[in-house]
Amino acid sequence: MKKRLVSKLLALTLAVSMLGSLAACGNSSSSGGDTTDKSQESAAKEEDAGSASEADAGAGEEETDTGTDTAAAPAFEERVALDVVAFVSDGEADGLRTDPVSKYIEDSLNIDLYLTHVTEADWPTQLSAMMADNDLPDIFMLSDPTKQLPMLLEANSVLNLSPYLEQYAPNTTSDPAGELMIAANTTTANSPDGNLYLWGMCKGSWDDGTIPTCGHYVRWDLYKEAGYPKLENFDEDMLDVMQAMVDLEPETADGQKTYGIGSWFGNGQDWGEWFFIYGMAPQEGASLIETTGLTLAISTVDSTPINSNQLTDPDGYFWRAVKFMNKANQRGLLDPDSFTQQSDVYEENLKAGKYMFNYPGWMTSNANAEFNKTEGNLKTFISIPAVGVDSEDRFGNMYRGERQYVVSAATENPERCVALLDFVSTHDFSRIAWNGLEGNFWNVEDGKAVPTDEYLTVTKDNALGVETGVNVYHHFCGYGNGTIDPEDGVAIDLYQFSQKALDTKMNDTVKDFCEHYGQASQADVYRAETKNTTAMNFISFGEPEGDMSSYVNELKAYRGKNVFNCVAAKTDEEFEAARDKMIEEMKANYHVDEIFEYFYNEALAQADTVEQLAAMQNAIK
Amino acid sequence: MNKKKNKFSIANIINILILGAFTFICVYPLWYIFINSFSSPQAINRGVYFVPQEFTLEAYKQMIDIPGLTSSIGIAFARTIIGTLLTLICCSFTAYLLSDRDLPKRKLIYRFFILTMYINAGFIPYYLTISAIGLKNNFLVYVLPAAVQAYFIILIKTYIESIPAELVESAEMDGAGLIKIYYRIILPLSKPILACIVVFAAVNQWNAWADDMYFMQGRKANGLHCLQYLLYTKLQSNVVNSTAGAAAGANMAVSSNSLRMAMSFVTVIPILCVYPYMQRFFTKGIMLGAVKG
Amino acid sequence: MTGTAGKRKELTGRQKKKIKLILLLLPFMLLISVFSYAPLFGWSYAFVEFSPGKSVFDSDFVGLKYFQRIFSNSKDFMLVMRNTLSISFLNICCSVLPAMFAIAISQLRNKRYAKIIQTGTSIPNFISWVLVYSIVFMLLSSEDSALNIILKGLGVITESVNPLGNVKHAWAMQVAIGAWKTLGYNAIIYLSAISSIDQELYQAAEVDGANTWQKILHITVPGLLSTFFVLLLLAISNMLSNGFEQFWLLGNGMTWDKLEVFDTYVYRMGIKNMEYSLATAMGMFKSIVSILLLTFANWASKKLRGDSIF
Repeated sequence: MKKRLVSKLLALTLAVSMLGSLAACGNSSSSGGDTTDKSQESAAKEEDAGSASEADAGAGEEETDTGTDTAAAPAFEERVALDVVAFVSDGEADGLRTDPVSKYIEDSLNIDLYLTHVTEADWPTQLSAMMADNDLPDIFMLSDPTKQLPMLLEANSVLNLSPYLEQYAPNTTSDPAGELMIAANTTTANSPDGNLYLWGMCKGSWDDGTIPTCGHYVRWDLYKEAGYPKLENFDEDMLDVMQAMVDLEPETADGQKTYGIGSWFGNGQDWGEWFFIYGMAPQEGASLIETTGLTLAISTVDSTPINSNQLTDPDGYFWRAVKFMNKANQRGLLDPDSFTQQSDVYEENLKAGKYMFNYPGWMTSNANAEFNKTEGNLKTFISIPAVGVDSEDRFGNMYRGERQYVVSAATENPERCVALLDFVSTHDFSRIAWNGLEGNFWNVEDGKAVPTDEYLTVTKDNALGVETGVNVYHHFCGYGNGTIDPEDGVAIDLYQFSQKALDTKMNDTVKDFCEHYGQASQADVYRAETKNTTAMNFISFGEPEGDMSSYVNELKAYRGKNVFNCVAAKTDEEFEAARDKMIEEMKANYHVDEIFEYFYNEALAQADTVEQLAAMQNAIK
Repeated sequence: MNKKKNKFSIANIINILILGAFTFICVYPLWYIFINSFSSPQAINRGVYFVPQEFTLEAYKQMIDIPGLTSSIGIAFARTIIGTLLTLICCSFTAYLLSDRDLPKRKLIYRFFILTMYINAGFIPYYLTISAIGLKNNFLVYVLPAAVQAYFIILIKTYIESIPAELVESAEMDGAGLIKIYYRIILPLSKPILACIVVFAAVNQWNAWADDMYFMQGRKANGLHCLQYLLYTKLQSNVVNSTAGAAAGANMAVSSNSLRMAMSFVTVIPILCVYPYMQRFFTKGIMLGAVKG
Repeated sequence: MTGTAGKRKELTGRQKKKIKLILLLLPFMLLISVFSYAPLFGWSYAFVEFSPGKSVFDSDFVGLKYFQRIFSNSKDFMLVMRNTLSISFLNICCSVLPAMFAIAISQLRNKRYAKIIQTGTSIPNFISWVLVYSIVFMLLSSEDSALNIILKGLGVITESVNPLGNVKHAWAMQVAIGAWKTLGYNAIIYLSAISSIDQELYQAAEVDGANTWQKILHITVPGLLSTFFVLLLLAISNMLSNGFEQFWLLGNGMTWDKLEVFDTYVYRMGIKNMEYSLATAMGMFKSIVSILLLTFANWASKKLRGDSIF
């Protein structure tokens, strides 16, 4: 309070002195030298103030801790305001929301919910500054928990949630998936002292298996028309399949030339490398770990690290993915614009039908939706079952929660914060977050949630969100939309994955796909064709020690600067030379072996934790 | 003589043609933005070069739907007008004082200002300073930090120094004080450079969004956001993207190219409306003789 | 007697003016101190293991570790420096363009035409880099871009050209885009400088029978020199900063090797990875280099032109 007063006074004096100078009767009496002294002084003061308020925060935490022991009333009588920074829809201005779902939360918990919408892009810098300033919202999202949690802990600005769980988070502690999330977030990698700091949101999965986030999607209508050409291994056959499809449809409906595949290398490092990271490994039951600089891959079948450095192994997932792109490029199947276009243009091209093959699932569903606008459409991207291997990461498993939230240690209402997190983490609320309140777009019939006919025809946009609350909290709720609610066996998102919705999406192409594999539904095809389809990766890495993190950063920067040139190689020899040169360079100057060694051992050391978490996961099934 | 004139008119024609051609490649993109803002995303992807294709007002509709748009326009105008005036007064007055040879330690003080162009403490300490003086969630954060800027001071000072010293000296002889000389002589004579500064400062203010994003936070900032920030939040979804964001981007609306075009068109228009009015100040020569007389 | 008394009075008058000058200047010095010098306490972050929210005094002192890290990966660092300095050098070569452009405009007889040109050419400056990317991509770079359609139509090329993905000409391309974007806008400083030239000089020259070229060479150009040198000096001292957005947005997989500049490097290595100590050290390094360059350029200007600017 006092600090604020002082700062207000300071601002006022500043403004007055400035106005004074404008009126040209400045009467200040210090000299130029003094000014600098003053500014230094104020800087020093500020730091003092900073550490003082830190101490305050610490004290506050202790007080509230003891407070919990005595507090008994689970229902909250007093209405309080909470500041929440979350990944929510931006359909309304930041602050109090007017949609019915927001009202529902506020009435249920007796709070005023002030929401600030953030995205991944700017939030990290903002959060760091707010951390330094010790002025944090009550609940906020971490964009990079591995790095941010240690920082928050060092500054004592994050609340230990463990003491509040029993009393204020009854839903989560009694839900097996909730328990798994808590267990995972209290492992050594995610909590230095075994207390719960991170609260995972969006558990479960994003889809019902038909549109995995990263898959191998082909234009099934053309594949069928081509007479189901041989597709036994990915690296070679897929290129031939693409060629066959391009031959069948050399131009889109509006006359653009078609290609087998495209990409968004124009986005450059990291995001531009998406195709190499997610284009091959997940579809073959492995996960390339970005925090290891892509040196380490972990099997999603049994959560074991693969003992081969992916960046130096020419037959590893990374290089195979790069080589695949290069081959496509050599054969003229890769859209030449790939090298300079960014992801938004890519998506428009995909929607326009320019590509025969695609990796990212969310873009696929957008493209299919676009195709479906045409009456009697047969054009459809369908993800094919694993090719030539017996495992894939299809039925996603975000056991830790896809997004991590924390509570500020300085909050005045820690109980309410935990109660809010618990409230939005249930299956029931998740269904409301995705579909709105019961009775509007969906009803319960025979104990099962069923969407109304009207619901399946609406467009989910911001306006709808403001009116009905649909998709406002869908990234600030307990479960992803493809998760099955154990109570009624129906997926959370009725708009996309309820039986009724699936039936309307079933066109002749999808039917043909199911018939081709002799199954009744798409999901059945995948289960029947591939042995392991559920991701079981329970390894997570904390912030690496010593120079390791800077090694990883430098490796990433080098990789991102050079890998695209390999794709552009004109011949196999040229590609191999470029690749070998990169591998050599990474070995010589970028500590690539050291990095792999470090993370591989870290991963091995987690064997016990993995076993424990896997057991909990199996118990859910 | 006649021959000579001819030669120059050829040079003139070439001059006109080159300038015209360059102007075309500068103006065409705006036309491109304009027609694309009325075209469907699919049409944009195929290329829209002359007139709108698959005409749609969708982008403008989407823009009008942005929450808090009306108040943000007001804030944008307020910060532009107040900020520009403040910058203009502070910088011109500082530059004038610095140009006075009687100022003790003149070089040193001048360097004190210039140095600020090169030192940058980084974002976090700047944020802490702003927060400590109470400018967070405060309208002043838009205008105060921009009030004194070394670059503008240098430009104005260079200009003032080109004004004949006799003018100032004779005014001093007549007993005019510093302030009086400033607004009776310096201000009127520096109109061209001041017009430049107005344009620079106003454009900076109008286009700024970063200060808004970082210093206007949470419920206390309600109603203080400016237009460019709101538009920026819509635009950036495609600019910087992370893998995690994209994975979760499933079911999140992505802003279309036409929306970007529409926004950009709407924000450029006010600048282009005001710009020609400022122009006459920096293109019309000042007759020193007239002032002297 | 009266003479000395008068002199004394004059002296005190002068001193009074000096004090007044200082006093009037103080508020502005205070203002710029608050926003530019006060945050400098943050430079201390470069010498400790900084973590936001933790006091610098509680953090571990690491000395020059982060400065060493800037140079430790000498290969990356040299590459970044090569790109940064080359692009800056090319930009400096182009810095004469706005002045030439302003002179060309001032020669136009039809003032309305001049006005249109001047307004029109300032437009690119108001278009954000995000859109500049879209426009360049759609008009020049994509497979069926306007440029490729035209060139193919004329039979100049058979294979599509892709200027954005061209490694060989990456620098030239970026410098050209930069010049296109800022030329008209930057010319207005010179236009204002031209209009400050006493019109009587031109009239006198005309009486002496000077032609247009001579007038430009002997009156306009000298009248622009002081502005030009000031801007040149600023550009030289700013060699390490060639902007972030342009290269971040217009760079791509093919051209990163040529377009990774200091500003994008700081962002990538420091800020994006939340290595604030490293980012601070890099910022300090940039400040120091800039100040050294400025000092040197100023000194050189004094030697060469007999007049220092700052």
